[in-house]
Amino acid sequence: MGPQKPYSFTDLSKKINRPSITIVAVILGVWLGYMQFPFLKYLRPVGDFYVALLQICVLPFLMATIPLAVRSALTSGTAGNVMGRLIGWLIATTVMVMLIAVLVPLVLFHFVPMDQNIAHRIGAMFGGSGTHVDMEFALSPQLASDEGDKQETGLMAIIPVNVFSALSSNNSLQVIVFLFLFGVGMVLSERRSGTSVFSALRHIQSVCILIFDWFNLLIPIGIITLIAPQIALLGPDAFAVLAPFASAFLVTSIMLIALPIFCMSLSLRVPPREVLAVFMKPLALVAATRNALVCVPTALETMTDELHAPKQPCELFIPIGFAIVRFGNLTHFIVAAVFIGNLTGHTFSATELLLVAVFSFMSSFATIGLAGLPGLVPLAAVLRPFGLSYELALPLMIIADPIVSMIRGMLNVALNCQIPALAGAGGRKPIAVPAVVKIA
Amino acid sequence: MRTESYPKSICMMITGVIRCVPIFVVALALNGADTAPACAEETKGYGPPRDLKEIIAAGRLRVAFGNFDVPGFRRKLPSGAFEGPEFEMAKDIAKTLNLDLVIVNGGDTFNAVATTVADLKADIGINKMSASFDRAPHVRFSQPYAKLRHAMVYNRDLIARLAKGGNPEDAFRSFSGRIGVLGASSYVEFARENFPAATIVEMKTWDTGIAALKDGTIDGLYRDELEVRRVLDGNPDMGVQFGSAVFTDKLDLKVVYVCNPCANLRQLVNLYIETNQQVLARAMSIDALLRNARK
Repeated sequence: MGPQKPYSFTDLSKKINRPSITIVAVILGVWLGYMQFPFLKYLRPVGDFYVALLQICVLPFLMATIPLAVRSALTSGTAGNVMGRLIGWLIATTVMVMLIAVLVPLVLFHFVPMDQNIAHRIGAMFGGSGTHVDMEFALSPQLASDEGDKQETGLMAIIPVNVFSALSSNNSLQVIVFLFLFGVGMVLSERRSGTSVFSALRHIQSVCILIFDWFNLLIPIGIITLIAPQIALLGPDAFAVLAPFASAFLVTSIMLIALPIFCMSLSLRVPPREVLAVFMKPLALVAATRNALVCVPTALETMTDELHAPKQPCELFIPIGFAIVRFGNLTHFIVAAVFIGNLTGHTFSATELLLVAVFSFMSSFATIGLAGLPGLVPLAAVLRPFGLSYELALPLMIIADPIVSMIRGMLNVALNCQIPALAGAGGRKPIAVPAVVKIA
Repeated sequence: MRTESYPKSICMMITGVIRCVPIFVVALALNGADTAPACAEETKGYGPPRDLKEIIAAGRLRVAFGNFDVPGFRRKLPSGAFEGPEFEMAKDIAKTLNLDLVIVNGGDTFNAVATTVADLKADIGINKMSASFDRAPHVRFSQPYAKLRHAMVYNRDLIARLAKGGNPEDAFRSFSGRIGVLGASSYVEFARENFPAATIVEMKTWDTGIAALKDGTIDGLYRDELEVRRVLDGNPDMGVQFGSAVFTDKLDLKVVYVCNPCANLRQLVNLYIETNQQVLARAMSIDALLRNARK
């Protein structure tokens, strides 16, 4: 017998985060939440503490990873090719998501139409309460709020005029734009002067991964303490009333999560069951934290170390994709628009459905950096052009959000991971030892 | 009891006269003699003001109530007795003046209640009455005992169409649909003032207004926040098709109507409202009123 390798945190983390344990944690969290035990309120601070721990190293990790990925792309000589394929698969995935998100609820509502009784129950729950009014505002135009004019819009919103301010305010989009530009600059400067800090960045990256490994020991606890109170927010009445919307969104989401599993299985030549097994960790983590950026290190580790997807497109695309490309919000907005249209008796033409998809895509960018209620505001831009009431949709969406936000995150992670896997097809590292983990 | 009140009244009058002198002089100097008669009328003679004297002499305070329930504020029980915060207020004011409370039938509409007070058939009217410009010449308003915001139940489809993809708030600001208001109420005037581009449809009763909204005869139903909330509270099936909007800058001040010559009575009513501010604020809060209305 040779000398035994010292047992590391990474090994322990991998052992604790076996797919079987992750699945059990998710099921336990959902069950506890569904039972609505009174002690669940005491779990929330534990979950919040865990999310705070995970957030500690997100920005330093991105600061190291993005310039390294840019360097890797620019020095390999295949940067143009990789970028082209990433963009191509991004467009293809977006179109596919739009198509599925439009067609699935349409078909569902066609075969299982909402009867008047459901509309009455929804009206009673959200619109018919005397404690709730849809809108409160000043009728006089002179008193109308002009807060919207003060916000930066369009391109200015992504330009990090002061990167330190962007860092301190956790404006991930501006930080990523800066890091991308800075990474390109560092590579060009390295070519000219021969000096660089890339080795230091690689060290910072490995330090961040090590710290994530420590925190990953707590993933099962984090999943339970975050999922259970979230599920408990929904009462039994809400489940019953929201069933038509929830079922449409769930079926669409299941299809959209199955899609990347199969695509990755094909491109990485790994059985779908095994892709699903290893992918449970980032999916469960994002469902628990509802923060895709927090899952960047875990997703990268899963993609490159466990599924052996090509590192270059993964490191280049995943951090940017998680921050910018909101497939979850896109799906949510499309399904919500089709649902509200169905509820209020609005029949969409083919052109209108196309426009719903396009408006949802555009509005999904407006959710960058937003969570909770502010993240639902862009839905107004999808509904109002078709004469659909955002004021009716908002309370419905707020009630459903505890569950929907978890699934949105899962869609963001799964579909964004599919793109580099497809873009890097053919460039996959050979697997010396079967590294996929089976469901125990 | 009544005779004891005379010396107090005389003192009050003397104080009133003394207070009026500088105002009288300044008013004469600045605006000519226009303001003088009002002050002089209130202090005519050195005995108690005529209105209060008459009321005290009669030993009763006549309070006009409409011949209809005012949900949240007042309702008539099957026994014929009244209940609700407005009834309690009427009782308290009468008790403060050491007078018997006499309820006068104020008619079937809000305007009829105002007319009852204006015609001196009642000393005061407490009937969820709004302070409005068109009634100001005929009755005196107390200070408000409740403040409700204006609100509207609206057809979501129409507002979305009028908004043309923009903010629905702007669609309300230039509302050009048909707005239903309770006929012979202050909201006829409020609607004309606040929605000049809309067609104002006067409804005989609030229930006919709700029916008209449901069948599409009108596009919105305009009244105070309490009544608008009550519409959706009592008709849960309307929640999907109809929404509710509250206008934060339009206040409906609920006041006691006091007979026009009764200046001192108005002062006493104001004093009552002022000294019972906290109790009234709680009793007349939107949640408390809504709870009362659900009874």
